[in-house]
Amino acid sequence: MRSKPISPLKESEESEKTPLSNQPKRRVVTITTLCLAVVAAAFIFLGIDLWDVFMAFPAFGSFFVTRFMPPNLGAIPNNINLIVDTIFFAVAGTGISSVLALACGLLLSEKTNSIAWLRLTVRFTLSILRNVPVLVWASLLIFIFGIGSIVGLIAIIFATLGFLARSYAESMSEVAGEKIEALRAVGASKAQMIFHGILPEFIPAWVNWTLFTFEINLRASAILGMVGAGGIGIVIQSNLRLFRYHNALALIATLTAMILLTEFLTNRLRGKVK
Amino acid sequence: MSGKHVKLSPASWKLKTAGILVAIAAVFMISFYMLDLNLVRFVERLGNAGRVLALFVAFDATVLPDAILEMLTSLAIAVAALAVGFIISIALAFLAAANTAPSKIIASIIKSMVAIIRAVPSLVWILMIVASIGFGNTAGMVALLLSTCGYLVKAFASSIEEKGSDSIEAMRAVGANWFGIVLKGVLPGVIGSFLSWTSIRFESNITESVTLGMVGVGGIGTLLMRAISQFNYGRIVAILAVIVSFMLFVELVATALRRRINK
Repeated sequence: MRSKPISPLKESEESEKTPLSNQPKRRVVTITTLCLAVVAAAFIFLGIDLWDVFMAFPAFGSFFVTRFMPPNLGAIPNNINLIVDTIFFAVAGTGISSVLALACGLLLSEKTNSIAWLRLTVRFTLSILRNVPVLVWASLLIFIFGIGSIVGLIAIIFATLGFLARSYAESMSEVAGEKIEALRAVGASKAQMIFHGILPEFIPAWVNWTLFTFEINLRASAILGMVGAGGIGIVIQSNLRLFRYHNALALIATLTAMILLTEFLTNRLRGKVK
Repeated sequence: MSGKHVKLSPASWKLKTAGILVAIAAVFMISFYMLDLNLVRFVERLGNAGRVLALFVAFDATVLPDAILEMLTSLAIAVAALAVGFIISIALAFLAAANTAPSKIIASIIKSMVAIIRAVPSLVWILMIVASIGFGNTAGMVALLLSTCGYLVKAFASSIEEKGSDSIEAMRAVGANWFGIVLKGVLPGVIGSFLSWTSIRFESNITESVTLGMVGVGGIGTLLMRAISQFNYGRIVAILAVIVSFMLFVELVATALRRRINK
């Protein structure tokens, strides 16, 4: 059980059954037709020509090569602290929300919280937190906290909390199987069941989910600056608006390198936890 | 529980996990300290929260028709990019997955390009794209297409690689060509997880599409940013209500679809 990596996506279960009728096939055809109709409607509604979309790639490529290249490395030293801040934002935001989400996860899972109304309230609050994009949270929180880093941090915590708590709760319900039954059978209290039955089993999933959101938050914290919430985003945006493409490219490249490096490190860590 | 301690987990594993947890905690403390957050001002401003929230007790229903139309635009950009990205990603994933790649060089080129696309935040992509081809729905779709492919190619390729190469070897042994192997041998086994990944991506695509609007590409994000910069609280709340209810609806549909696919 423990050696099994818990991936963000649950494996789709292979159905070994041989179809005896063409009923499923007809359903597939119906669903495919429906999807195609929705996609066609989307294109018509937007008035987008697919040809234009594909032609945009070479246009972007040539613009990139002629106007963005080469990066102006001189822009990096002045902004390196902002780029490093981006990573600190992601770490701090992910850390705080993982602790909060653990509490919310315990409140959310049927296995650990038997009070129905409390479960529903938490679920509803979290789904609102989750469904408002992080940039929207940031621009709303500015009304309360004013422009600054704290807004970025809270926005990341809000957006992450909703997602993490749901994932934690799902993982907890998954691991809470036989062990819980055994503990209940010997008369363990609720707290004992949580601390001995669920949490030890849950740690690998906890680390995996947290690292997964960390990667998302890394990108989120890079853009929060665009609404005034601190970090490198604002500098990249203003460089682009002022047509200083060489400066912008240098910053984007540094940011990208740093994100890739951080991801490499978290992947090593993830391999260890498995 | 008569004082006898039952070991539920092996000690070595516990030690390693504890070590990793301590390291993570240390990194977290350093980051928090380095951010140099002004906690005094935070507490001060928190006192204002009630007053500010009172301003948001408003609802401007007149903006609803516009908001719904713009939300549909955001939704349509997300759907269009997802559909095109799905097809492109399937092709690229089979060229990139270790066990189906016809050429190692092409595979590593695709994999590293996808890694770069994923590493650059999509909002940065959109700013660069807007700089070169101008504002509009097409720019939004191009940006979303990039991040969709960045996500799906990696996910699809790992699904293909998980499938293993036994059946591929067998088909190669009986002389099937590449297209035969991919279409008849591998695709039927992985299409379920492909659809699962796509439905997950659908939700992020909508979030991204709304966010792209906030830098001026079009869609509901633009409308929201305008209301925010005008301090029009009633409008902000109404637009937010539209966003949240659409997203909740989409989440319900996506979850239901996933359950169907996994069945």
